[in-house]
Amino acid sequence: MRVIFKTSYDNDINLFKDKIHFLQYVFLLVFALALPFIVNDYYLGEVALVLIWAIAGMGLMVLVGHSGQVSLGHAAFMAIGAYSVVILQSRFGLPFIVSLPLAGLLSSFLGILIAVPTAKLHGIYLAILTLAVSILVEDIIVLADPLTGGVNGIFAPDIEIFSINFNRYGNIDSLYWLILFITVVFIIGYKNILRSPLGRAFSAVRDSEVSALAMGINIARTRTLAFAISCFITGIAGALFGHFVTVFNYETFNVVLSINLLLMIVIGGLGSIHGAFFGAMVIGFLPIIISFCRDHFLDDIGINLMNFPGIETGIFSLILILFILFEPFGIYGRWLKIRTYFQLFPLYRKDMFKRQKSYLKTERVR
Amino acid sequence: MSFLSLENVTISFGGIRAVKNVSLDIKEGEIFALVGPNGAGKSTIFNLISRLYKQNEGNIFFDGKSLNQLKPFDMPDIGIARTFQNIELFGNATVLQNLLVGTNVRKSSNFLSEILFTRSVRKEEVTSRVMVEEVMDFLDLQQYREKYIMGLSYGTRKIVELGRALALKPKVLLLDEPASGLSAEETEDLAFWIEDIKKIMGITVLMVEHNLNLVNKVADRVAALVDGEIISVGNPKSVQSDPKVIEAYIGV
Repeated sequence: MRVIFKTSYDNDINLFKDKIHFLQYVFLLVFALALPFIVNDYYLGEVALVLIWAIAGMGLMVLVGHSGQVSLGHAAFMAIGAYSVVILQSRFGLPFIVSLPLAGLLSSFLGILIAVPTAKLHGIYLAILTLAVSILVEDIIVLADPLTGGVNGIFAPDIEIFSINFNRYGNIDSLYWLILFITVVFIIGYKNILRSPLGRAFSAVRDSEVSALAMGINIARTRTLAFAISCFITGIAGALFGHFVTVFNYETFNVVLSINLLLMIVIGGLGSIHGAFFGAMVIGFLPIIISFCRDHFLDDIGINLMNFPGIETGIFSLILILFILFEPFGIYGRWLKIRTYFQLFPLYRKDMFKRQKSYLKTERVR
Repeated sequence: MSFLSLENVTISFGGIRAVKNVSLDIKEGEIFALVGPNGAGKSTIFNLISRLYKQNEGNIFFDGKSLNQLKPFDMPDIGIARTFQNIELFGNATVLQNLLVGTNVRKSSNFLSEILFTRSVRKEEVTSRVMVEEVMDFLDLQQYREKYIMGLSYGTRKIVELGRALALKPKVLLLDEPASGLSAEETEDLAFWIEDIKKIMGITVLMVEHNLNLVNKVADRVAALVDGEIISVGNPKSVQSDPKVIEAYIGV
C-alpha cells in the first residue's frame, strides 16, 4: 500500500497525488496517442466515437453527477452543437476552429434559457421538462427546413484547421488525435472545476440547498452556471459527433440518445470523471463485443443468433439492469472497491463501502 | 447602537402567529440563548434572522443595517453564519470539502479563472485551506479530515456543521440546538468550544437550546419564549426562577 505524506497544501490541490499517479496517466496518454499505430481504422473509429461519448458524458456529469439536476434532454444540446457547427461553416463560411467554440456557446445559451425559468424545479419535474425541450428541439429542426435540411438531414463538411484536413474516411488518424486533444482539454477543465470553489458550490447545491444558502451560495446562479457549462461541453461533443457521422438528421438526436447518455453516466458511476469514460466504453464497446462473440464463438457451436432478432439489444439491456441492481455506484464504484481490496490486502472488510441507510433528499417528495 | 436587534417582529403562517411582536437586543460579544418549549417559535426567529422567512411586521437590524431587503445567501457576506437543527451537511463530500465550502464567500475569482485554475485561484485556495485547517484543529476534527459525511456518527456531524459555520469567519453565529443528540461528554466539549468561540474568536453567539445545563454554563443572557412571545429575559438564573417561565414549563 502506498502512503502519501503530505507536506504542503499543494499536495491536496495538485491534479496528481504523487509521481506514480502522474506517471500512470502519462502512460495512458502515450498509449492513447500511439493507438493509431496499433489498431486498424475500424477500431480507431470506434475509439474516437467512445471519446465523443465520453465528452458528452462529462457534460451530463457536470449537471447530474455534480450539481444534482437530472436532464433527460441532453440529446437536444448535442443536436444544437452538431447543427450549428455545420451551419456556421457552410452558410456563414466560418472556419472550424471558430465555429466549434461558437457551437458550444450557442448550446450553452439554450441551456441558460432553460435553466433560468426552471431554477426551482427538481428531480423528476426537471427531467420531464428537459425531455419536453428535447422533443421540441427535434420538431424545430424539422420545421427549420431551409437552414437544417429538415427530414433529409444535413451533410457535414470535412474539418479543416490551417489547411490540414481531418476526415473520418480519408485520414481517421488525425481526426482521432483532434478528438483526443479536445477530450484531454475538457478533462483538465473539469478537474479544475472540481478542485475550485465552483465545484464545491455545485456539490453544495446538490446535497443540501438550505445549507448552501446559509453558506452564501446563490443557488439559482450556481444551477444556471452548471447548466451552461454542461450544455457547452455537450454541444461540443455534438459538434464532433456531427463531423464524425458526416450525415445526420433530426432522428439522430432523439430521446433514445438522451436516455443512453443518462444510462452511460449511471453505469459508469455518478459523480466522477472516470464514470463518464467507463460508461462511454460500455455503450461504445459492448455492441462490438457482442457481435464479435456472435461471429466467432456462437456460430462455431451451432447457435445462430440471426434467428433471434433484437437479441443484441436484449443482452445489452440485461447487463444494464444487472448493473443498476447490483452496483448502484457504477463501474467506477466497483473499480474503487477492487483497488481498495488489493491496497489493503488482506485487511479488506466486506462492509467497508457500506453506507448508512438513509433516504436521499432527492427521493423525498418535494 | 445594539449589535443584532429585532424590533416588534411578527410572522404568521396562515392563521398561526408563530412569532408575536418580539423584540430582542443582542450585544456584541455575548452568548445569548433562546429557550422555550417545542413550537414556541425559536427556530422561526432563527429563520427570520437568516432571511429564510420574511417577517410580516417589524424590523431586524444587524450592525446598524436593516436586514429586511437581504437574501439568505447574503448573510455570510455581512457576517451571519448558522447551523441547523436537523443537520444539513453536504453528505457526498468529505469533512474537508464541507468546511472549504465555507471559504467560498471570500473568494475573488470568477468561474472562468477557476476552470483555467490560474495562479491567483491556487493562491486563494491555499489561504482558504490554511484557514480551514485552523478550524479543524480548533474542533479536533483532523482525524475525520478525509472521511465522507455519510459515514460519520451523529455527534461528529454536529461538530462538523459547527466547523463549517466557523469557516465563514462570521461575526454572529446562530446555533440551532447544538447539543441535541450529543452525549454528556460531547456536550461538555461543546460548552468549552462555545466559550472559546466567544473569547478567542470574538464571535457573538445566539443559540437555541433545550439542554438547560449547557445554557446555564455558557449563556450570558437568556430569553424564554412561549407561544411566539418573549416572557422573560435576563441572566440564566433569574429567567429560570421567573414564575412565568416555571408556569409555562411545568404548568403549575
